[in-house]
Order: sequence, then structure tokens, then C-alpha cells
Amino acid sequence: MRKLILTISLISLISASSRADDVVYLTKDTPSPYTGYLFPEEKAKLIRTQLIDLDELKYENASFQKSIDLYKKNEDLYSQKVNLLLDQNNKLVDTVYKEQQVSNLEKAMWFSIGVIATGLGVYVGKKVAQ
Amino acid sequence: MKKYLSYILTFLAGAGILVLAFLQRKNIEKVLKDNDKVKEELGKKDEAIASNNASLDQEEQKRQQAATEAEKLKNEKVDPNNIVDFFNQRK
Repeated sequence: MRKLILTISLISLISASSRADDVVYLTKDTPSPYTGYLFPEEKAKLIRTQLIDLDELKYENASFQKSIDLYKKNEDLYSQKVNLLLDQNNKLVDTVYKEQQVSNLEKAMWFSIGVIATGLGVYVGKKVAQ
Repeated sequence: MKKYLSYILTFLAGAGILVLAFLQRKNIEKVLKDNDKVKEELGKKDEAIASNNASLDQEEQKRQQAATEAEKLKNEKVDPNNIVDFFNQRK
């Protein structure tokens, strides 16, 4: 049988040449350096592929979590911007309204001054004519 | 006397309107200053948003890179040595 055998140790008991937590490659009929699990080569390749996928998914999960946090921060910032703008808009509307009121009073005052000045002019004119 | 009183009242009303107008100008100046501060704050928030967006793009790139590397690793020719290395490096 040409099948190569791979040992993946999960439980360490005996250590000969290699450490008990090392994965070692064994050919058929080679004595195992420690007690562990034996996988056929194809199974080991499959596990390797699945572990690569798992690592990738773990990384993606962590990365997406970071992205979600960043999106939440952006959402907060946008809300703060909206609140700031609404608040400032209210202040500006209020100021414009007050300015309009004062402006009307000012116009009325200048109109009155105009009337008084005209009246005074006519009065002085009459007096001078007399 | 009544005549003078009416003059004084008219003068006071005129002065009151001028003071009101003056105060309103001051109020407008204050609101404009506040407006500038708001603009500044909005600018800072825009900067923070831009920075977050840059980080989001970076994160997206890292994910794509990791996916490419994972795919490359999966497709590479495996021999007993690199399988052993792979498992031992996972510790």
C-alpha cells in the first residue's frame, strides 16, 4: 500500500525524537514517537483545506466586525451632523425672524423721522415766507 | 408740560428702537460666529467620516487580499513537508 500516513497529535504522552505536540510525517510501519491520531494523507489535505477556509472565515468575521464598528461610528457622526444642522437652522430662522421685526420698526422710525423733517421743513418755509 | 412729555416719549421710543436695532446687530454677529463654529465642527466630523471611510476601504482590501492568499494556499501543490509545516505553524 502506497498510502502515506500522517499523524496529527492532539494528545501527547510519549516523546521520542520529536516533541509530543509536533505533527510528524510517518511512512507505513514506522513506529509512532508518541500516542496520537493517525490520518490518511487525503484526509490531512482535506483538513488543511478546511482549516485554511476556517482561518479565512475567522479573519473575515473579525474584519467585518471592525467594518460594522466603523459604520456605526459613521452613523453616530452623521446623526451628530444632522442635529447640529437642525439646531443651527433653528437659530438662524429665529434670528432672521427677529431681524425682520426690528427692521420693520426701524423702517417705521425712519418714516416718522421723514414725516417730522418734512413737517418741520414746511413749517420753517412758511415762517420764512411770512 | 404735556408738550415736553410727548417730545421726551417720542425721543425715548426712537432711542429704544435704535438700541433694539443695535442689540439685534450684536445678536446677528453672535449667530454668525456660532455659525462659523458649527461649520468648523461639521468639518471635523467630515474629516472623521473620511478617515473612517478610508479605514473601511483598507479593511475591504485586506479581506480581498486574505481571500486571495487563502485561495492561493489552498491551490498550492501540497507535499508531506508543507502539510506538516502547516499544522505545526498553527500552534
